[in-house]
Amino acid sequence: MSKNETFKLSLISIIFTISLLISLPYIPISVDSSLLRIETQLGGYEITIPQKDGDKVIDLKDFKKSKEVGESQKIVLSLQDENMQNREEVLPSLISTIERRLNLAGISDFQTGQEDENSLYVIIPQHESSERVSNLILGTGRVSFKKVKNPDEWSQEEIANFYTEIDRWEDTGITDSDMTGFLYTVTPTGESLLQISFTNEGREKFYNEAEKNIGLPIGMYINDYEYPLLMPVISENILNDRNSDPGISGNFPQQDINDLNLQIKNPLPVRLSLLETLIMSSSMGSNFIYSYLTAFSIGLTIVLAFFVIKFNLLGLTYVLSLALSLPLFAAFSKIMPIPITPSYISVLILVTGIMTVVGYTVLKSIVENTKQEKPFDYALYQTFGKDKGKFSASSILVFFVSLILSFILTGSAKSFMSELFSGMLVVIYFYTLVFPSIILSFGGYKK
Amino acid sequence: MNIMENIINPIKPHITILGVTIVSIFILYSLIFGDSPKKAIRKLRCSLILSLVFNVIFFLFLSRFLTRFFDNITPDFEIIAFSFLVVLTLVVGLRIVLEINNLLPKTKRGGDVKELYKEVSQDMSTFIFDISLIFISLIIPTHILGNGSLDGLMLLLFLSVLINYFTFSILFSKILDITEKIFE
Repeated sequence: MSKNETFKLSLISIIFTISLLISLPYIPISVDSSLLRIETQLGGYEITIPQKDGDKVIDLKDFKKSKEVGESQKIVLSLQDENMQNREEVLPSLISTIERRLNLAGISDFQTGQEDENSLYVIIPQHESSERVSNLILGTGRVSFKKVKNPDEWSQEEIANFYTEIDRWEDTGITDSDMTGFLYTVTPTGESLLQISFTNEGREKFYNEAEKNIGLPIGMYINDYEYPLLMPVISENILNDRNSDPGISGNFPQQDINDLNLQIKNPLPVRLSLLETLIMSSSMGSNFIYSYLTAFSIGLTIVLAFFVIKFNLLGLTYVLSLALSLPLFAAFSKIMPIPITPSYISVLILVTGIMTVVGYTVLKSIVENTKQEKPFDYALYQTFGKDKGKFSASSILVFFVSLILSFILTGSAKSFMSELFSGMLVVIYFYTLVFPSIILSFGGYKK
Repeated sequence: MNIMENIINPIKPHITILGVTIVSIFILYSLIFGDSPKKAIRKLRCSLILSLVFNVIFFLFLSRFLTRFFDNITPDFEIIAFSFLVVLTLVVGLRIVLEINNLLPKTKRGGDVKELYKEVSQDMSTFIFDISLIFISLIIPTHILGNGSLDGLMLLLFLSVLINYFTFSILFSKILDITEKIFE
């Protein structure tokens, strides 16, 4: 076996092992004997990636499930003003604002609706944080800046009292209408900076107030909360460049700032309050994944048997290649992460089917070439070289179509295309690396 | 205006999927068949698009018909199965078209694609039958042994495979006839 082939087979083994470890659920391994004591686990890992603005955790404990497949969370919200007259007009516009906010925040799998005449609901899958979604929905999107009412009272020791005592502040007249949003940046020292993007008039108003309040804090209030979110103290050098937007340094989670921007750009027409959050059972049945994966495995066994019957020993190369490639699809679903939706099973069938078309075309071509008494490695060269287009053209076309459509479409069609896109990556991996290497290692040296 | 919206809105994703697929077929043809006879390539492209359109029409008609009889077919299942059918058509259709393309003589006209298809039709019929059988072998156990929540979807996937089989094993030679007439 050439060095090149050994390298390819080693690479396939490594990718297979990593994929399997990623896709496996948490399996505890515990050995407690007089000779050996092991306390470890297989699968279900949590990988922490250190980053400048906080560690990023990749949770591989379980597959993310859509709200139909797994348990879901129902957030019930009610109108704060129960005696509102024009409910019929307000509620639909409220629902549309909520949907816009959730879509922009990247929460695609949700359902909204009216619970009763005073309340509405949002259903999200269990892997989404109900706390974040509630905050995202409840925020009115209003921002205001306040200054210290009596500057003589201010000192660093009094800072806690300024946070809690609302009477110590007075309005500056600067609000969200004077700004375009917040900007999140990371300084070269790794510190995050919250930049307040003002309109030209807003910036002028802010610097005029800042000039009068050097050494004093400015309270930044969001979402009509009583207490300030931030209380930066105005330093003298802020006035050096009045054409730039002011910034506040500190450790701000980027997601919170993005959510705040979404709220400012999509303000709620009326105020809402959180009524309750309920856990709802899966509408597709609690055994959905287990039953369909078992059923699919049985179907797959029939297909593999067909290949072995039709192509004998060569059919086994397909069986092995498929077994080495499919865990990568499961691993992609966990890493990307792509939630398990009702369309997942159909994509699994389709991806396996496409790999079958590839396998069928390749093996048929090899069999036909060897029947004509051509050497095996010539047949292999002919199939994976000259005739590659027969199976690669459709795979590449489907790969690009699914990629484009996963951005354009919404709902189930979008889920289908996203899942298909990751599936097509596996198909390409299958016919470019796994299948030719396995066939070659099985019989590539028959001259 | 409202009537038009009522007709178009439910099939908007279908139109998007079909539109993007057809545009992608055009791009793919210009990229991979650059050195093949132009007229024959146009005929093959046209026959692939016509097969896709026929499949889509059959599917839309039959799936709406089935929806009347089966309560478990939801609009979500319908669009998933539609996407499945489009991809299946591309995979099987391109395989057949590429087989014909390999036989094209290197002349300007590229020969009669209908005649060339006759040379590979036996092989292609076996291919289409085997592939359809494989897809059905995956769908039927999933339908029977699953927990029942995807029965409507599995029914539509089964329908997609049948439509695809019908188009490429029976209708495809007729589609090539139509294409020859268009380009005469």
